[in-house]
Amino acid sequence: MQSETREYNVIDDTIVRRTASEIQLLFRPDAPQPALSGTGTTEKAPPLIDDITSVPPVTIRSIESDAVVYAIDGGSSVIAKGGNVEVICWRAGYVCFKGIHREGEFCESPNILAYNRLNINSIINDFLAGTDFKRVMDETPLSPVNELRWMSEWMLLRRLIDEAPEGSLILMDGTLRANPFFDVKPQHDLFKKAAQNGIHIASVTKTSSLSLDKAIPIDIMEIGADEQSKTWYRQLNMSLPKDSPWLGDVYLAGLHPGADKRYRVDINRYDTEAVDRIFSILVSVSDDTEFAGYPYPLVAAHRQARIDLLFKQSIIEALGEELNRLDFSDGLWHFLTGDIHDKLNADVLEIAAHEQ
Amino acid sequence: MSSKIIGRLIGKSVAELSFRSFRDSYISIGSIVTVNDESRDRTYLLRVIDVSYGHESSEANWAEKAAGRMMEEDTRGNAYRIHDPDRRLYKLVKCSPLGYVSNNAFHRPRSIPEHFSRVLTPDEETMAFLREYSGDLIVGHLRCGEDTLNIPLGIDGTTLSQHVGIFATTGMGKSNLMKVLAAAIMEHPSYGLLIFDPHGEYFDGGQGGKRKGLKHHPLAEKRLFTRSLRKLSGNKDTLAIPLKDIEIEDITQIFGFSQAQYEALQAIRIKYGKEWLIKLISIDIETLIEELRDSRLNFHESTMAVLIRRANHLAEFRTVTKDNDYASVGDIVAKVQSGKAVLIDTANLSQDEDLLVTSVITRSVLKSYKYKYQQAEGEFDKLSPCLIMLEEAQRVLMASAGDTNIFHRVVREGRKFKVGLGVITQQPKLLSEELLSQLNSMFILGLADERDRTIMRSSSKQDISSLGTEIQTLAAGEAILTSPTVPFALPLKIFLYEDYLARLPKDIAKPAERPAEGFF
Repeated sequence: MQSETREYNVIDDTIVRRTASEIQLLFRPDAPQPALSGTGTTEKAPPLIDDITSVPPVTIRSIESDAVVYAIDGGSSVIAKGGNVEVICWRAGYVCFKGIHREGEFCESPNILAYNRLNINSIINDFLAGTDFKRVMDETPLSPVNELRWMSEWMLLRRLIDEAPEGSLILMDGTLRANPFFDVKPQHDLFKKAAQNGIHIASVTKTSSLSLDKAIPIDIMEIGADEQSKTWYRQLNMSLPKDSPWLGDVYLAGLHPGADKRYRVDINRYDTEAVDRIFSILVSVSDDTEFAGYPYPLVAAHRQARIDLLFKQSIIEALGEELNRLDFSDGLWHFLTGDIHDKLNADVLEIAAHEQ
Repeated sequence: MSSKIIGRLIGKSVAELSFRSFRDSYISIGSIVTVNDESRDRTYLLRVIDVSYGHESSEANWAEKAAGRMMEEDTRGNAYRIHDPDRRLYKLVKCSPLGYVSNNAFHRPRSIPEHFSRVLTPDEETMAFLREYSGDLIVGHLRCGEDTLNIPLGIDGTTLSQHVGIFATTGMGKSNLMKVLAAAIMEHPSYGLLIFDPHGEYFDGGQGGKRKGLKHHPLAEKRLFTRSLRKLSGNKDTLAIPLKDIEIEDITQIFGFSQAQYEALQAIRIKYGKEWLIKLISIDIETLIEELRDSRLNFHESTMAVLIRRANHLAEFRTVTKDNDYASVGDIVAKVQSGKAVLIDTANLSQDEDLLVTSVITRSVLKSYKYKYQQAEGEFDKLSPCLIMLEEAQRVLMASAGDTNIFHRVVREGRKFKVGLGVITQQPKLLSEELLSQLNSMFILGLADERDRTIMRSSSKQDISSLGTEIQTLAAGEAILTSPTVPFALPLKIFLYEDYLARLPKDIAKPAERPAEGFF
């Protein structure tokens, strides 16, 4: 297949105009100010085994898989921040691989939003309108952009569960945990539906904070040398309570014999019969020369969705021009966005060093 | 060959453009590619001068590291792959801009196409403008890398008198090109051709009948006249050079003379006229000295002894005849001037005899054209321009040997008198840059020696300074044609002579004697 790189770093003018108006309103002297408080979605670990040596490693069978592998990831960034006001940007996308070849991809236009803590809940509710996500916590999230990005990723997940061919594997970045801000039951139901439809779901965590001894994270703890030369997995969690927010069983896996690193892998807890097959598929997409041991589709999804410094700068400039048209203080906008030129220049210098 | 997209332009200037191509694209040095600049309705033409690897990676020196990992795992038996190869791997292609085509006219490059313009393989429709420059002596098709387009190309016969160079290492298709060019000239009654063939490969193809020669051309019976001392299967006449046709200039190709000897030769030539050589071989030393003394010219006996000995040596050449009525040289000149092809087969002659024959005939041709030029204008205008094809030209045109012989004179003066020299050599580095710069049309085939390529690049009528790698990698039968009459150095695939003959119209030998226009 011959492919061309598509351009997703394009800013929608309508969104820029709307956001600039919101920023202007938020900084009016008579704009209402909220109390400084918020709630985060602090992650609680699933129930884990005490000793890793109590579960022998399961060797992963290597298969020549023709399964379609989707990888979903999101990107987000805080564009401007001052006082209670934040301007945020997020998006989600997916890539689709068959074997080593990219078969398809999708990436949203970036969503840009200006808010203060007073109106963020209503803004999130506005976003939920027309979806079947129901908020069950009214507290203001500590990081609204993370919640909004999560929603975008989950909307994509739901879409792919309907669209993907049977036997496909959908990969997520991070862990498989229900979001407590929303009604958990539909989230469990979605995973049950996926398993019933023969669509596998798994996630891979790049760096895990999970530990068995509350000290050393599982992905860097010492394990027997026999696991260095093959592909394997070990299940780390004990049976999950029915109402657990965890949607996946937790595993530690070595996905390529030449890889230095092992990863935490979560697999849909309602798809236990397919665990061996899922790990075989994971191994088949984790033998890339550059990212051995980590599923390449997640790399591709991350690269596609991320909002890098150059794109962030172009968003700042686009908003700045529109605010200027609205007679918004140029100095205030600079203050809010900070000076990222140094960072930009560092990036350019790095590129130049590469080219040399 | 239809056009297909092979990449997108990424840089960088009017002097050099580059594009990203697909990882599995097969693009070779010398390929011509096109770039459509839709905003200006122009099609840019670029010539590929280098192809390199490219990859998208956030890791410095990724390719080296990846190869290292692969090698490490090769030894362990673990497999690595490159995922998403179509996105992450690509080729970077460096090009030399040739110009652009707009409204079917070619223009020199002074601008660059739009950013990220599509790069395409050329199609015949895009390249059709080259037909205007194809000339009437077609020798091959436009080459695009290792493929060809059905665009016949060659040189214009009217430029034959501006000299032609053919340069190639052995085995790269020099002789084949010679035969194709000779055949093309034979098909045009308005151009004369004189070929000296020291290897005996043009008449019947040589190589024990495996290849075809000029005698196999359907027009050979009417338009090819061969002179040889060899037993050849086919029409030919005996190659003979009457002593009266030999001049001092001819024998200086063979012998070195002291100043006294040279002066004595001139004195003898003046005293005895065209009979000077006959006199030298028939007279004794004392009589010769005596007769010259009557003209108040005194020469030493030993000087005369050398001249007489050398004259007798010449007279022993099998091609040299004392029969003054033998009009072979005059006949050769007349045929060339009337638009015929004359093949002088010198394959079984010694090096000295070969040089003598070549010199006498070449000088006679130039002299005759010059003579008619100085006569009434109408007479000269009727003469066909001619090309004298000289194999192993470095023998007589070597820079280190000076520039006074007849061949240098043809290069310097011939253009004015419709006489062109076809310089064929595998060692252009032995020729002077000044001489090479006089050759308006050059066919450059594969040259293995860097010094040969260097002198070609500096002597061409077009800027081919960036084509060093292309020349080095030319395969047998592939050539680059430079000429003031073509818009850029044209990449050619020369017809295989046998194929060329096979494609000639069946009725070519009928009275019209000219191929139907555009039959290639």
